[in-house]
Amino acid sequence: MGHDFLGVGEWTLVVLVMLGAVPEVAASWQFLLVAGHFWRNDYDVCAPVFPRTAVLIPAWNEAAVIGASIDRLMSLEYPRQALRVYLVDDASTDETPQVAAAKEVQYPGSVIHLRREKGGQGKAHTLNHGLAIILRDDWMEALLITDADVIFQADSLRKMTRHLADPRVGAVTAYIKEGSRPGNYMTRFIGYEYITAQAAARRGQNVLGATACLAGGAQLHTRANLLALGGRIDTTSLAEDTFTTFQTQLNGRRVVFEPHAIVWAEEPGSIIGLWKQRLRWARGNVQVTKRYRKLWFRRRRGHRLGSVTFGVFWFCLFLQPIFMIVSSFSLVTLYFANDDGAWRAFHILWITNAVTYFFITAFALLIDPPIARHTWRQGMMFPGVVNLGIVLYTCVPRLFRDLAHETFAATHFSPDRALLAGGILFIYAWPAVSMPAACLAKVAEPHRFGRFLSPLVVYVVGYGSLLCACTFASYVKELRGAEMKWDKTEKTGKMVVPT
Amino acid sequence: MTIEAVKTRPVVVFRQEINDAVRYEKGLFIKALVILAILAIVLTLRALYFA
Repeated sequence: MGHDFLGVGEWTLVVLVMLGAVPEVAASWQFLLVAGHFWRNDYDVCAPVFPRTAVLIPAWNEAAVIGASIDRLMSLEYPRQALRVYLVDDASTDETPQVAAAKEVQYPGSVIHLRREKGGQGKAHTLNHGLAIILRDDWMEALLITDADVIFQADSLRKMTRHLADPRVGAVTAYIKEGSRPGNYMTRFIGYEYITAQAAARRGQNVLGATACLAGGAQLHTRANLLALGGRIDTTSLAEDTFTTFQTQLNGRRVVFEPHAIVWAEEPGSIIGLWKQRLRWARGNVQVTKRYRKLWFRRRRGHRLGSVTFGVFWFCLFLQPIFMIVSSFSLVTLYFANDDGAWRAFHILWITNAVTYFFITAFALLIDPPIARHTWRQGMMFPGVVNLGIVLYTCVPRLFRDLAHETFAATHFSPDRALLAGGILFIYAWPAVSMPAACLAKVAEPHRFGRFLSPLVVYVVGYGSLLCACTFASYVKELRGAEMKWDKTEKTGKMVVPT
Repeated sequence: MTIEAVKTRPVVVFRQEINDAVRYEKGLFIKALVILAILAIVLTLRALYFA
């Protein structure tokens, strides 16, 4: 891009346009860190330790899944005398109490059924009810917090506890995989997303030495860590897992991700279910960002949450919708100021996006081949058809131009300047426009035609745009001070877990 | 915190699992290198022939 043709204002716009590539570049950096996990990990300080572990399961109307979950926990490759399951029934109105009581009889002394008569206050309150009872005596040396639908592979717990041999470690989390089979397009998108967000991102965070979040369905804490946290889980936000993770590290203890400890969970199979779940998570992230506002980008001894790299990772995810809107708006503005400059900026932006897309997608699929075999189509379609079209055009523009000329010649159609300008502006604005477009999928889903239309819209606009729309909605909810409601994800128990 | 070390599983199994985990992580390093190499080749070809 020539300096002769762009003024200061236009250069500023170019920089703002390039903000659109920042989240993708940051994600690629996180994936590059994954490659360093073979030399920067915690395996050299692991040992085969089996602390007395209390498994804490909050449950509200989980009759469909809780029995199988307890059976799997009782068949873990772990000393039975060192394992107790505490099921905290949050005033369920279904058969959960009966199932829990039956399991208490089936596994005497190993399964303990606790019931809250007044429930509905949320997961953190339910966990605290169980924690208060578990901490009354000295039996528990480690606490595993999980969800009622989560299925642990037989070796998963001992692969987690081996990290507790290191006294610096306060908490360990496992790799949660989506287990619905055959599932649908949505569960497959989530299955692929979990490779990127867990198997990859958390490995990267291991290398960095700072972890963003313990998976809610598989977090193992030492007793010392829980006591340092005050013996209770934060109840003031929708992201109690993230608060616990941050506080653990701020207290000087390490949080470790064990990628080879695998647990399976059933994730939402609909856009509305996903929206509820992700809105809760995204609102929680807004609350975390505000609560720890003095932490970001300020290095401190004892933890790495204040490192620049961790801050960049956090804010690239947190502000991704803003980056997309600013980038699109700047590109459209630049088009009216200097259309040639806008075209070049667009090209650089999308070449960057194309490179990061190929790297992230290829690497993600190779990180977890068994899940990739099930989700590779959704992995490739993650950005959506329109974005993929732009990526392809950026990679081989000549091919597209020749194709367009041939098509126009064959159909005797000659687009006028206004139509071409409209098409260009649409493509420039697409990253921002794709978010409200993704909301159409949510709006259409409850209707009869939604069964066909909603998946189509998600494939066209991209699952990534759907998540960004959800993040944007969380800003609005938080700005409005909307009520913090715990919308439970419905579980059906349709998981098929490899034995 | 005192962690009770219950030696119910032979240490050799534990060692094997750690070795397997480290080998898997080394494999990821190789995979990343291969992808980056392919990407570099594709970018070069694109710059030379398809720009």
